[in-house]
Amino acid sequence: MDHDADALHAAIDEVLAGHRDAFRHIVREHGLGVRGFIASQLYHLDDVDDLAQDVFLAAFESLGTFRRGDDFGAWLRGIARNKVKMYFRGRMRRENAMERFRSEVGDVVVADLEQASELVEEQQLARLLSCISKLPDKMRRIVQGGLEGQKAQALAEAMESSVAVIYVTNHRAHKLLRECMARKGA
Amino acid sequence: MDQDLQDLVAAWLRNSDLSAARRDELLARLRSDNGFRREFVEEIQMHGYVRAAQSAEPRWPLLEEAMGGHEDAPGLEDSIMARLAQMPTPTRRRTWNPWWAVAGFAAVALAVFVGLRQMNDSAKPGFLPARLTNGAALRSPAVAVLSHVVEVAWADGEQERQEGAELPAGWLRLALGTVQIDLFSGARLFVEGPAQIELRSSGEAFLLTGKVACELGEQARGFRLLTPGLTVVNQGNSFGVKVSETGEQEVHALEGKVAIGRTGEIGTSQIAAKQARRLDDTGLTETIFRPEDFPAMERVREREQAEAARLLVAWRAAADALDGDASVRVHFNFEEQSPMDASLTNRVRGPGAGSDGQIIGARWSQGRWPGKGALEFRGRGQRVLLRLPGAHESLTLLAWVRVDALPQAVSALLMTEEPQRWEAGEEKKPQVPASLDEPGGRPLRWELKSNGQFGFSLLRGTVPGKPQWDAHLAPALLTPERHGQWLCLATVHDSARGELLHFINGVAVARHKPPPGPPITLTHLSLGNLSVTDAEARQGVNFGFFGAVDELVVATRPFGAAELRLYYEVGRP
Repeated sequence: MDHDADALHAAIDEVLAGHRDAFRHIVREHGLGVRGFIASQLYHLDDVDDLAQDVFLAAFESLGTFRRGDDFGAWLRGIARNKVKMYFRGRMRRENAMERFRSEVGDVVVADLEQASELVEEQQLARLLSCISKLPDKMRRIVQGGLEGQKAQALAEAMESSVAVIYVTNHRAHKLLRECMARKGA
Repeated sequence: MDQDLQDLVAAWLRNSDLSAARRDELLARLRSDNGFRREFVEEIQMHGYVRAAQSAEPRWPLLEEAMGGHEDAPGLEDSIMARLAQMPTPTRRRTWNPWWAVAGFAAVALAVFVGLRQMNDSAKPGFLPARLTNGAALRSPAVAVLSHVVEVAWADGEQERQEGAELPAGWLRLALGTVQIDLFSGARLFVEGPAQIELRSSGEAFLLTGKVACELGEQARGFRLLTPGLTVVNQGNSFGVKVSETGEQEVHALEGKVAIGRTGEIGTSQIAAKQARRLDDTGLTETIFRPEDFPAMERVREREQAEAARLLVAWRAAADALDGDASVRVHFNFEEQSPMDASLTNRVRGPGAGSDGQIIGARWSQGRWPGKGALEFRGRGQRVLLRLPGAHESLTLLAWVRVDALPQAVSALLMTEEPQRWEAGEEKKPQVPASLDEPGGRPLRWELKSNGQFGFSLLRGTVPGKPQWDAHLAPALLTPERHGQWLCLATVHDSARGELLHFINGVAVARHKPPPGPPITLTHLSLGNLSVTDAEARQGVNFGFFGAVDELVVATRPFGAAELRLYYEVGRP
């Protein structure tokens, strides 16, 4: 993440000096990135927000250990990774085989996910909404609707299409979004 | 869109259920096919960003399309700030944390990515995370051993510790799971997370929060467990103590008597076996005896066995996928072999298949998990010989090893037995090729040094009678506190990028720029030892490795950092 390092360090210094309101700057700058990282792995959005809060609270507590010059986004994702791991472990004993499967998939991909997240700058994330609004109608409807749970079937029915087509369209939409986010001034 | 990708995304988004066979299939592909994994990651990453961005402002479609602006999660920010109000202000801590000194190798992504970002053209000191470099110098005397680690997640900021690690006095913070700590006084603690416990000496510990069951033999009589309000002294065989986040405390005499003292008060009270006391605002009162609330050795063992079985199954799937990779020429997984076997089966299905290793002297033993095989080397003579045709520009070497000791200057992990060193009928003397342009390519030495370094050397040439090696070493990280632990060592020689990287437990620990040269030969390799010349024998030189190996991979392409990290994660014990 390419943040203004001086502003970040100033905010950290302020917080460590007792001016905890400066932590708002950190939450504001990194909130979407952390939530996006967690939302990539968790299904329930309420859980995403709970975990994102826990990540920032843990970051607040450990702020004194953050080393100037290190990547703050990577540091936060390291905390988030542990939180997600604990979340899955806590649920694994009472969940079914599919839930355990998702947990295993999460374990396999988390390193790649962190690496991929490192390549996405906050400014690019800030352009995401604007990029979605520029998608062709059908794609935008699918992206806006989301595919979690039974939404893919519902969308397929509403659009008189098949679930497979919905997935393929969503896949293409993601590629377009990635290109759009990478373009400055998008 | 690939059908596997579609199925996996649908399953991930809870849009479909999959059969057990299909789940295994997709997991195997995810582990073995980097392109597939990357595509899946891109898909769920974008999905996550879209969800996060949309939920930040529920009315976004209208607002965004009308205004094109972006607003970030005011709800999140406000709720965090409200919760922060109840927390103490953080303070700047020293960059170096003494916990890091005793910790096992960090498997956290932070170390990997910060480390990789800091990489330069050589293994300069600044490259390594401080937590990996300062270990040996700042170690305190141990008071206990972390004997068992079951389904554990360490608390934020807490370094991951491996089973078998020595523990000095200090804090352990556990978010989840159970650990068994064997103190040198003979006291045995089962700690169940979430818990915060401070080991103060081999005879005393302080429990701030969490649950602890203490098993104590005769030698541990007098062991004390302190809490914020109590001092519990062993007078029997075992007791349990729990301290809740809100400060409620209970002591249960599991077997035999226990003496309890209140902090700041003189005198103690005793409770008999199978009784319990609770400390609240009114003082110590009787409460229901509930031994099942505390971690017990049998339950810990049961869970440990279940976890080991699960990990073994996951590793087997990943290992099997690796066998289908055409670049992997050797994969010894040490599985499904009899203790009487004198050859080591190469599991690869592509080129290299059939080139089994010949076991000389090394003994079969247990690997990372019960039921997993390994070969043990004890320094003298033992080795595994293997021959692979051809010479290769790039190379990945990966081994899961348990280093028991490094008693000699150089111990062999995997080295080229240079037949040209042993001309028939001549006295043993090095006769490496004067010119490296000769067919066959350059010999290699993947080796461990007595100071804890591991390295990769390539033969550069000879000055009369003496071979000259280009040595590329990692920092001295295989220090005695890591002996006896299973470690994943890997070295990647990437000729296209002109670099050589060393990894320990999936973490890049050194990068070098080796000079360009001819390809590397794998024709005559020896695992765990190397024959010495007469001259070397006279000087007492011995390359024998002291330890065990339970997996070896030799591939003719450079593995990426994420790939190595993943293989470590799936194989960590």
